[in-house]
Amino acid sequence: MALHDALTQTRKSAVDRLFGGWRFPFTSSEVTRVGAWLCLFAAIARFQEHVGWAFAFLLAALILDIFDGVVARQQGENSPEIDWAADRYGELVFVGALFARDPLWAAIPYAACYIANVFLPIKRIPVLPLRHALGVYLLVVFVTGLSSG
Amino acid sequence: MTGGERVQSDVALRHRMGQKKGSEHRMTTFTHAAVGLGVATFFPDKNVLWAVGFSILPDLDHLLFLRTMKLEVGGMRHARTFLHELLGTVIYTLIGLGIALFDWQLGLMFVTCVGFHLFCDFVNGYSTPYKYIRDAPSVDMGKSLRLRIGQELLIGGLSLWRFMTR
Repeated sequence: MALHDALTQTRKSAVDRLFGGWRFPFTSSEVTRVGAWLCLFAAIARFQEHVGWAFAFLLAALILDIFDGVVARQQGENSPEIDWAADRYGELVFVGALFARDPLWAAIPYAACYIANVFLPIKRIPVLPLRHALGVYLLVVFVTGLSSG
Repeated sequence: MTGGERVQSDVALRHRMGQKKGSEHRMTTFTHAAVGLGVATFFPDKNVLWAVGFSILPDLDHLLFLRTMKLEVGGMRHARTFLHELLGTVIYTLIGLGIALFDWQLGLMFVTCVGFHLFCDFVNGYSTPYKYIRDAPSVDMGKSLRLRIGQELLIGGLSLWRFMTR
């Protein structure tokens, strides 16, 4: 838990140092919204067997996920529940796509982790980095041409 | 907690959050049906009507509120159960995977249609995603009418275009 907090803090301060001087003409929830849509597009691309596009959309969503925190801190917004919920819905849309297009050894753990992520916050346990893992998986599939289901 | 008490606590929560007592914006059932047509293109072996039916299925929980809900411009008031929130996504996913044990494609179509429905309702309106799971306030992603219409046109139009050009 302490390691997770330390890593989160390090990431936040590194990103803030990078973008801290910028002024953004939009709110963090708008960034979160675009990130959520990108997840949906990534899932649609996966359905259509466009692994490269799925990875690109997901990567963009993950970058926006970091970015929305920067915007929120800069503008003094404090609504993490929007981010938490958008992350969960962004994970949800991949469940069907993975079962339809990928092997069960990838789809079943993904669905199980999604369900866990919904409930983990009850005990204040950090959620699993599911979309990051999915991004790595899609990259491997894209690069190696690993067979899909 | 009775239904009436729950409605009152929802209203109280919204007031605490500084939100006006207003309608619960969400995506229209027509757009959900259009999304169903789009999802149907991923499952060419299955009847399109299944996809449309699954896509509007989560909206059945509005029927529980027939006596208390009020139709308003752009939405309804107090017309959702936990099945429209994150807990519902888990329940629907498990149901879909259960269906998949008997009919693989149908089960996945169910998971996809319902998942897309709940996603669309989240990005287009008021929700309490962590209701019954975590003590987190409600979320309103649909404050701007222009944005809501734009999102409906985007996802509805994309889905219809995919269906027509399949």
